[in-house]
Amino acid sequence: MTPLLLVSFALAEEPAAGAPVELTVHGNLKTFVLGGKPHQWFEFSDGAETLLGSLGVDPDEALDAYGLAADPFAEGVASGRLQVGVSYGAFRLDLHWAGSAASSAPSTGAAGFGTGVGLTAPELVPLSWSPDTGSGVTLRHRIDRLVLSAKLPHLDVALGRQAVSFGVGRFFTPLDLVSPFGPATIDTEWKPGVDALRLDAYAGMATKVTAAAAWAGKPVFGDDARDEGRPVLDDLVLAAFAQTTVGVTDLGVFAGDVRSEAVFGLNAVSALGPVGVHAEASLTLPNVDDPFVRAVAGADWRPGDQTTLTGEVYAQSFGATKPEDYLDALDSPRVKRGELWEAGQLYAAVAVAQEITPLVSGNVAVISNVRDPSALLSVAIAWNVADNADVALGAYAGLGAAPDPIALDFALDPNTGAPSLAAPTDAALSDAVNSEFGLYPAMGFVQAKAYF
Amino acid sequence: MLTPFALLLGSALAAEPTIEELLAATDDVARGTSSDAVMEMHVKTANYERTMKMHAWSSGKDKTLIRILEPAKDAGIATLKVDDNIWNYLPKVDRTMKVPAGMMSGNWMGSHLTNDDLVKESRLSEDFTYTLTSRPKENPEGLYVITLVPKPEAPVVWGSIVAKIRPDKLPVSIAYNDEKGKAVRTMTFADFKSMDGRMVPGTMTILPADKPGEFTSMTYVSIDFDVKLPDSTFTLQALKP
Repeated sequence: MTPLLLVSFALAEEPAAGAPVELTVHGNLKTFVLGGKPHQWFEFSDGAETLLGSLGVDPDEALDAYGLAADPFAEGVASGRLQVGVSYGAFRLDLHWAGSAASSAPSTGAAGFGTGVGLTAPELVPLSWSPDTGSGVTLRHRIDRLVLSAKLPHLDVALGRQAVSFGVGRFFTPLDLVSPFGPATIDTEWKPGVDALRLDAYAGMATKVTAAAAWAGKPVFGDDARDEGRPVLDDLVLAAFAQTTVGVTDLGVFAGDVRSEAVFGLNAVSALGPVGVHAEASLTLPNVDDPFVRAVAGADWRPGDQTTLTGEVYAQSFGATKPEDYLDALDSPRVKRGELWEAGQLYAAVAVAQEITPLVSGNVAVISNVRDPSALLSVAIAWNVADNADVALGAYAGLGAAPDPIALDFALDPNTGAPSLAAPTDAALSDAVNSEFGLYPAMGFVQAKAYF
Repeated sequence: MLTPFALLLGSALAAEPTIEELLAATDDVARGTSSDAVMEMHVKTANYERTMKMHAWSSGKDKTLIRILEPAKDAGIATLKVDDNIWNYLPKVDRTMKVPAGMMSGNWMGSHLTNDDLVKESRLSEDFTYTLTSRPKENPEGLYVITLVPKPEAPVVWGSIVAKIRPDKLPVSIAYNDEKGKAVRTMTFADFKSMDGRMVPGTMTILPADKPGEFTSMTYVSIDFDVKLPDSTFTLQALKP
């Protein structure tokens, strides 16, 4: 426990004699079934097909043998979360275990796709583990919350693993710099916890200043997330965010030292008649590369009691201007650690949420790279089948020019003359990309959730 | 010099509440200058039933904080309204989201309640013009019947409202009509009991006119009136549990 937290706790009013200890236990169980069809990235060149033909080998079977065939995939995922909370006066301890079992390793979400369960977040203190099942099932366990907090007069203090969010963006989140969700994360119910010390100081009704120190190294699972040779403190996110309300407008100012880079930001949320509007911008000053700006502006409107429209436009000076540079952008440390997911520079998004019945809601969203042009379409229907049970059905589809198949050749061993498959060059991979969201395969899912 | 008869008559007349008093009492029937309540909501429709439990604090008509206790999947979600500002807190993702007032239309959580029912932004005694349609002696139910029409600038969607109120100022029912005068829903008050030293309806029920058999009921588990709430109750700090 840090001295700061000790001092804060000392400032807290002592719980009244006989103050009850409150224990709350909740949790959930979820199951997913996913299926889709990835893009066919590879094919054999004419010469390679001739060679395979001379050997009596079917090219499709050869692709399959090399693991390069774009076969349809299906995956089953089961997950659970147990939430235990203990409160005593002004103090509270939260402990959440989250576990998942999948027929393959869940996506990290860094590239945008993910179920949202079994997510990996940076861990200064390793509290994730994946036992060897000796089968094709991947088991993951994580302590996703372990946070001690105190609610003091005008001050909240929290130390430990907790969710940390900044910003007001819906699809695009320039100020949410710690483990934001990707654009195609199916289940965004729980934001992964990170190891942090957080202070929220309040003045008046709606003025607050948040100061947080969160560790945000590599999002690897069940392993030491610290980069060898890189000082641990270099991966800290030190952030200060001040917010106040003027009339019906919330205004916020952000300043931070994010992984040793200075980041500044502004945001605002207000209303223009019945339309809610929001805007946010950040300026990042890297130590080596050029400064870059990220900015989003959006609106929410309910044209009827059952319909909600949301739209956003987003621009960033980080990112590629040409499709052949997207893979480099996606391979950048910023994308890999989940700081951002956009490979391009100019985007627009719109979503329609429709209450079909009081228990059934539909959601259609389109996130578009305006310059490609390409888009990610998502459609989902959720049914509240009981007080504590939901079923959801949905699909994602990348709309835009799919990558061109890369022609693979066989290289002959100069000593033995035996043919071996030549790995595609980075340039060939990059040149194959035609649009950002054209990279996304089509995918569908069914999800069932139960809570207790 | 006043005769005994005149005194009695004067006393009787003085005891009769004014329309303003009746409406104000209806507005404050479960509110007071401030309140701290735990309530259960039960929704019954032709196809489903749902229950919810929440903790609500209020001060005047401009400050409300509601935290959902049950069902488990929504536990911890909180809504704060102060004047024209509304925020929702989503604990699972640590996000506090500002909600424009224009986004608060429609039913709340699949119930027959509107968001305005929860935050009680409008008041019968302030946002409507009213006419006393019937006195207790003039109808078999022995109730005051008051017809209300919203003022042009009032933040309500109803065309007219008919309130039936007992002589002791306790409401029995409020019927809501659309702008064409067609019945939309009725709110009834029942199970009157003394809670925190005040006679209040233990249960309020919303009955939609176009869906016979359906209802949403709100039952108070506990309620304290005119409590001294800390200044921090209606702040962003209070949104977080």
